[in-house]
Amino acid sequence: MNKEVEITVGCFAGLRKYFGATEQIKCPLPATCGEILEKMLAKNPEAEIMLGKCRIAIGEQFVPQDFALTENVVVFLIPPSSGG
Amino acid sequence: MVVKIRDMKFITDKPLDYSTLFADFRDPNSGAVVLFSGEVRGSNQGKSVDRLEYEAYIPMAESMIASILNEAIDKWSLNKAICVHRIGTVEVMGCAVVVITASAHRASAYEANKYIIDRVKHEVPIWKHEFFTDGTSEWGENCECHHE
Repeated sequence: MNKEVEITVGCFAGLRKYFGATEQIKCPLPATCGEILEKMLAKNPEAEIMLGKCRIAIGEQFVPQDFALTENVVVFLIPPSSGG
Repeated sequence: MVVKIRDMKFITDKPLDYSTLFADFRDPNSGAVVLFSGEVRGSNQGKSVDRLEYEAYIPMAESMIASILNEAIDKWSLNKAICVHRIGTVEVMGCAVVVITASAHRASAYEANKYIIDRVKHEVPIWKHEFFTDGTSEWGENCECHHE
């Protein structure tokens, strides 16, 4: 049976036009990081273009969209870099 | 591998004093020290810029810059390399990022310096928020390298 958990999603920079600095997303496990993107899109469809450009990080590492979520993990959505 | 700089932070909210950093880079084995300073322009895409505000995912930015510096040190046999990027407000003509590379000869220092700034701009989670004098603002994206 699937277990529903709350995943904390950290948002930076241009993403905060659409979301708070952190968002809580309810998600049944097992699930992937890509499903978090879908749930964020459902939460605010206006963020579609920006969400499509984001990379996903857990801790200090980028992870692919098919990376499996675990309980208590914080998922960071990383918009395109614009340093320099 | 540890970057050959004493406990240096790569992200700072303090103004960058690149002349002091540069002085620290002199050493008897380095015949070339290259310093790049990324500075805030007063206009962008036809609009007058008031200031930039930088934000970073700091732990990840610190570890990625350390890794990029270490790769450059190995690849070009540098004696030293550093990159420090600002967060917070940077005014026009202020220094947003500094990269310094030191090597025995100039070719390595130049090439490594460009490699470091290119990777930092495009890969590291740092973002600029441009505030224009007309009161509007915009988050930047580094997707137009050919303009830089």
